[in-house]
Amino acid sequence: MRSHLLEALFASATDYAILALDLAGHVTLWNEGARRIMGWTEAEMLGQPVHAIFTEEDRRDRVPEAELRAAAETEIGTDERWHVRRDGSRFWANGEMMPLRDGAGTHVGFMKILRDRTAQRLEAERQRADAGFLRSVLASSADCIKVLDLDARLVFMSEGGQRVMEVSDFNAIRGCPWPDFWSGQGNAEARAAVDAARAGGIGRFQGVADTMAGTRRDWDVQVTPILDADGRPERLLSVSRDVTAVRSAERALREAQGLNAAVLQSSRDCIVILDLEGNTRFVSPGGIEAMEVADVDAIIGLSWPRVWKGEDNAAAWSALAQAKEGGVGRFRGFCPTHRGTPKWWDVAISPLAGPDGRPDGLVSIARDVTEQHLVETELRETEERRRLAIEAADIGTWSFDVETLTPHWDERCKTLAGLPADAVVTYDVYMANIHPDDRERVRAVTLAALDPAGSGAYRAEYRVVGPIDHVERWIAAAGRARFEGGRAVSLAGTARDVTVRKKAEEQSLLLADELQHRVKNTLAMVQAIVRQTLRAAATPAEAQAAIDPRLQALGRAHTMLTVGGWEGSDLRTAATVALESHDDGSGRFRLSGPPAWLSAQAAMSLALVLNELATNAAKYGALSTAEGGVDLSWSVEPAPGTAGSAKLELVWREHGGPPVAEPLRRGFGSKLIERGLASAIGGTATLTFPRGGVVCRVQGTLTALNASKLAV
Amino acid sequence: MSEARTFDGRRGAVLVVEDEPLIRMEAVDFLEGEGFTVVEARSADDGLAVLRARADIRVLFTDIQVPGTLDGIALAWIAAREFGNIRLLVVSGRAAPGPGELPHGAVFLAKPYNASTVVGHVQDAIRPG
Repeated sequence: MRSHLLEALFASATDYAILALDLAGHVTLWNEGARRIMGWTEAEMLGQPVHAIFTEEDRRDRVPEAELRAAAETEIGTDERWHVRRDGSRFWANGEMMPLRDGAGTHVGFMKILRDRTAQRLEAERQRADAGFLRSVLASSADCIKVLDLDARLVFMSEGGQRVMEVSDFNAIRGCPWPDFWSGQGNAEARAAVDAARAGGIGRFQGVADTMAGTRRDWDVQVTPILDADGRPERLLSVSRDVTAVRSAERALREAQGLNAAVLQSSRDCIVILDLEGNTRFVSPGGIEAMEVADVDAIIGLSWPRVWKGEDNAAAWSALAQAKEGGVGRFRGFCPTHRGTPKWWDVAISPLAGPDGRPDGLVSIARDVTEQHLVETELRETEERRRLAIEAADIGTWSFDVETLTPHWDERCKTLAGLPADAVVTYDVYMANIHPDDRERVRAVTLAALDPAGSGAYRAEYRVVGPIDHVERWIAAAGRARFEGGRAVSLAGTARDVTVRKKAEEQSLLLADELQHRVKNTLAMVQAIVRQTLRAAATPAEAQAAIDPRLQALGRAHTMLTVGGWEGSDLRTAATVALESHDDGSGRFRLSGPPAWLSAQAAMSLALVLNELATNAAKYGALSTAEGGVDLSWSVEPAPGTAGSAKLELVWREHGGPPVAEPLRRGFGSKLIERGLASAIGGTATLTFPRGGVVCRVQGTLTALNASKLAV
Repeated sequence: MSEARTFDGRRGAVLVVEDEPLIRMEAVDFLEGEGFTVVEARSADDGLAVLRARADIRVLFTDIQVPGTLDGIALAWIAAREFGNIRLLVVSGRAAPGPGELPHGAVFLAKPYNASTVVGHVQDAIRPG
């Protein structure tokens, strides 16, 4: 019966897992509760070690054995730990283990009773976590969080609150009436807030209260009820926030606003308050004056950017947009006043922050910079003009420090001197750059300019030689010395390249000299012709008749050579020109020969010689008859042994004239042939008088220079 | 190229250096007309060869602008150095040489020159025969 009862008890205790074990820990009994809680059936577990219900780590730590041993020794062992179900999941078990004894008191096994307490266990953990979180929140909050009872006595104050209230020991103030911490107006407001919270509402106020350490602070306070389960206020929660910093900032702002107003009133700038669309809301007194506004009301509401015209209009809109974005827009613009006075303004537009920190308006501060602008413009233009002038004129600027003997050159000066742009110019570099022949002169001119007794003016034209390109350039430098305390301290001025002018001057000097030489030489030739003619002539009339054609021949040769730049002439051209006045166009002269270049002197001599031959032929020879003629032929052959030179042989042969007899007296013509022309071409000349006609044979050398001319 | 024309060579000769044939011819003619022995050359180089080949040159009558490696001034300097007792007559169509450019005692004559002036200077150096 008793056993039966026990069986029934086992079976019905389904909230409890009850299992019996033998001394070795094998299951001998497994009730329905055990099956429900852990999943195994009695059939599955009977005879199995109880280890199966222990977690892996407990089995490893030999907890089952320890538990059995503990139960055997102490009669009862509590068991609160995680166990394992048949499906492997874990549950928090709260149970006991006790030894089983038979009637004789002999230890025959164990009984283990378990309850599944998993839900309770998790709830407890959650609550612990929540409480910890709340504590940490209260501790870390900078607000002073207090709990009051309904009589407004302090029950609790958060850690953060104790810090900010400078409370060293909360127990010293626990139970004190909270409104008493406030004095005057604050005390009344605190009581009112407590009353409001007690009535289920929210009490709120701002006031001044000292901390426990006596520091005066501004507080923003809120008092709310803590309701019980029935929704009635049970306690009160008071949260005070330290707003001292905020209030002082507000005070500063108020003071600043006062200052702003003063600035606005007294500033001479044109300060305009605009809405975000740029319409004028307010113009400062200084602005009204500066803009010469007669009727302020007329400009309120007007679009401010439209005041600016042309390029300034775009600049104004862009500055406005920048300010709307929170930045500062700046520009300089031109805007005449209402009375038409032209004015330049430096404008800055900034945003005016609204209560939410976003711009809800703009302020434009325009400063009259007309005078400054005009000066700057003038300076800029002057500078620009100077720069242009310097660039156009290739003018470099330089200075010379007398104290340190250091020249300072701009890049153009270096270019003028043939120095690279990065060259370091020292006094030695400067001197070495000057042509050796000009150095002393430049030094003397410089010293004269530095003489305090003098005018200080410096002016020199000299040659420089580029150290790299070795190019010689003419520099014209001009400057002025600066004197301090009766001593020259510096010399500064400009330098420009006058090479072209100098070369032109040299060229024209050369030309003038050459012309002088040529004219004088020609006069000497005229002199020679005249003297020769006079010496040979029997009468003045004969002399006169002879002189004219000779000077004419000289003149024609001159013209021919001048056209060719006095570089000489082709033989055929020289002959044609010389014989021109004797040629009646009937083909009396036959010229034949290859191209042959004669020097100017040889061409001149040939022209004079041919003139003499033709004159004689016209008087006594082939040209004195209608049928007669002259063959002028020449040949050019390479001269053996002299590279580039050539042998010239020229033959004048008359035919068809009257029988010829050798003249008794050699005249100017034959002397010129034998001594002049022959010498001019470095050869020999012979004049023979066969009966059939005069023959003049000239042999000479065309120099390499003259021969090469033909190849050109 | 030189050529001597001697009427009376015993008392010394005149060397005429002039590249322009016509002018040289005339110079030779008027000097010979005065009875001087005249040697002519068309360049300073030729003239120097004559000076060195002949000991009887008493007067050097030279143009400055002559072809060749030497000009008349260089020839005058060489003549002064090598043949101390030679009279130097230097002519040119260009401006007169500056002081010191010609050897001491040299006479400069501008072209066109006066023949009688030349003859006078030559006579100073040589007594014509």
